[in-house]
Amino acid sequence: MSLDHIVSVTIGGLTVGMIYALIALGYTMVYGVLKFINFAHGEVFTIGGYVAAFTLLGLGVNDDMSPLVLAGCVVLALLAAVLVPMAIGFLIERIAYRPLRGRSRIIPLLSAIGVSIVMQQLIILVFGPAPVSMPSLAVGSASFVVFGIRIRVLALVIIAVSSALMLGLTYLVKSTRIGKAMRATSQDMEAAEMMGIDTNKTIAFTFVVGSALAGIGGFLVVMYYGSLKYDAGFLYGLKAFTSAVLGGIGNIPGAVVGAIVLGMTETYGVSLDLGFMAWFVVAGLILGLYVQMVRVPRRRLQHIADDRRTPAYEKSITDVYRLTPYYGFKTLLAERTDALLSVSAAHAVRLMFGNLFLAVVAAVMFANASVRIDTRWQPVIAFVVLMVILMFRPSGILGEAITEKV
Amino acid sequence: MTKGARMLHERTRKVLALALAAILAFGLFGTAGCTEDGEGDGGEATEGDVEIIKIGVQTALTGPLPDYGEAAKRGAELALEDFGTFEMDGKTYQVELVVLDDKAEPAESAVVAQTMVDEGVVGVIGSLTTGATLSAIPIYAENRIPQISGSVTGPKANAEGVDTFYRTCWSDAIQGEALAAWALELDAKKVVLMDDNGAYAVGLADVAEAALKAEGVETLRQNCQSGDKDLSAQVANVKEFGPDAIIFTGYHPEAGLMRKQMLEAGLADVIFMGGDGIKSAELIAQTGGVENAEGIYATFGGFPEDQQPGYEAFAAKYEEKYGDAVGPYAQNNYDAFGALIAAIKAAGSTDTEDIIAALRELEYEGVTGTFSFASEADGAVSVGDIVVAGLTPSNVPRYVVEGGEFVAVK
Repeated sequence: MSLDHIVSVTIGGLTVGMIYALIALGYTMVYGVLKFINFAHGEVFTIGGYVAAFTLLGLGVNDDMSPLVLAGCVVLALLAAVLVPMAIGFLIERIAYRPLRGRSRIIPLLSAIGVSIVMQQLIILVFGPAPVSMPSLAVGSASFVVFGIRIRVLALVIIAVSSALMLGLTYLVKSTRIGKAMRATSQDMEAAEMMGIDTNKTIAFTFVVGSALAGIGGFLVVMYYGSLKYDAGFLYGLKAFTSAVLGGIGNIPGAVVGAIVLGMTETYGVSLDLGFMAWFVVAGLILGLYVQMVRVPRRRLQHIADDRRTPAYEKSITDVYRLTPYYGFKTLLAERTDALLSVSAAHAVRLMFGNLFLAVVAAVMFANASVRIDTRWQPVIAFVVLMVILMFRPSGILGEAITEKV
Repeated sequence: MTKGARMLHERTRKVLALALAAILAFGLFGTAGCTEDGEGDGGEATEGDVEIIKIGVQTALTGPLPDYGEAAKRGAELALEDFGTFEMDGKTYQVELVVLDDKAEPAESAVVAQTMVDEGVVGVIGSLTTGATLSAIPIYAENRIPQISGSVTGPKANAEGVDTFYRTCWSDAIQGEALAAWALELDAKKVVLMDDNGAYAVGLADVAEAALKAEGVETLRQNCQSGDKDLSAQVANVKEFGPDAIIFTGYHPEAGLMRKQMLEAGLADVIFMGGDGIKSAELIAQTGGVENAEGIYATFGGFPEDQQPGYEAFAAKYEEKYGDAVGPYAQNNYDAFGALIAAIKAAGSTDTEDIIAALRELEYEGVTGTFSFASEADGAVSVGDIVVAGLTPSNVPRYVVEGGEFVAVK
């Protein structure tokens, strides 16, 4: 992969990830407060996009407009894409979730799935089944070239705007009165109520903020890709939900990290060649060598019984790991007198074979560096990455949200 | 009430509530599928000598290709006006359409096919896409219901040799070769083939790729998923490969995005080609404007319009009724309906087994020309494929986008 390729794929992955993040925040905030997945959230995103697109189309934007008028139109579309989803998010919570609050957790979940289907059909009824497409604007497709690499301005705008919104959200939750109320409600709704917090209002606020972010996501998608379909929210919602779980559901920075990881995995999964993938194996090999040479020997030394601890014995344990091909096999072949030593030797030999395997794989991959992975493997790669991350960190990369004491 | 009984009561209530919610949810799923049910003047037979028969139209009015779906439905509706009432053995028959939406999804398609069977249709026009048809074919075959599609071009559809599937459009075995031949004529030395993982797109790309490789052209295969928005990674791959042309065998929503994102990445000089899946006016909107779509090439699964004997009259009727230019494959669906009625008349019966037998013998003079259906497999031709004089790769029509619409390449 050339540098040009890597940079464009990385920026692509970041852009995709940031849009997932904007939606994922809504999932994660609602989960944080209510411990419930709002499956209708993806549709709120779609509505945001449609409202933005129809506002722009209705205003008849084109490149012949003066920049000031054009900017005005874009701001108007953004406003519409924020306000309408906010109202819809509020209504959904009021109509479909609040009456069911306090019941078993599965009931609001069903209600959420129902709302999602109803909203999708409503979008078809109101806007029609054909995808909405935006005329290309010079502003939207502007790009610049740095060191021969073409970068789209809008991609950078998306990354910047999303980052700013996330920082703003973190500030809102951490340092404002309503944020404090949100955290309290999330921690213990009854106790919060007894402390005089209007939990209904707080929950409604959470929905409204999440919906506004999703609306902005819809607006950005329309500006960036130029088209949107009534069922786009399903796929985006699914991926954003995955991001939220991946980063640690209920955790705000986690949603962003998870979304970026997912976006990157998706774009890299499509453009990997073996040479590039080999570097990941090399990283694994370095980790494996670190484990064998440093980490495990250090651990083993702590297991030596005090009455047996001598510098010579310590050295023999370390050597078994660090010079496995000689000492490891020698210990294994010798008469077994010392349990710790022979267990360590067997362990060291296993580690050595593991590392050798990684080295061979890396070498084979480098030898075939230019072979490209069939893009059909992308979902598999994405799935494996998610599995591995969740296997080692079951509660997500940054862990599930544990609201700090207020 | 004892405590235990109360708990039981509570639990029953919860289970009941859950069941109700589930029924509601499934009801929504179910009704989402069928947006329209036999509109028009259906109803019961009022006079003794008029018999109502039902013909299904399985298409995709929602889903990724509403424009193709709407055109197919209109084709069938126009045919209903022309052939919907006919005399046979002194009895008057009147056709009632059963229009169902399969969203171009395989899972939905199987449900629609089963509904058609339950409705008791004597034949089905459709479905719209190859991928969705694959799951409907076994159901129609098992229930002996003839199915004539005006737009399923994938060779996979009748590869199994069922005798209930017929089509009035051309198989992609021919279109794929035509795309490859066109790319070669344009002097392409390196070609990217990109599909959307669906049965239609993969089939078409496979045929084209094999034909290009046989000519020593260097190829790169890429793919996306239907519904993908971000294709930046694929664009980066294409850029690195540096091709002369890209053949996008999927449908227009992704094709438009791919074209747009390729232009944004500065790949304006790569020739952009595609099959019948992108030859829709919608593509131009999807690319973000007329200038972005300029110069896109597309082939199609039928004769060029000016070689279709009945096209002019059909187009006039279509435009008069709907006030729109003729959508993709509308006339093929019109012919599918016409051929089905002709088969019923030839069979002299509304028994589906007789209709199937009649279809295999039928020679029909339709809008697109005089055609019959292959009754046995022969090379690239499978049972049910259209047989028409002059059906060769070199006759596959070519279109280019000029000034915001597809015009035939001479």
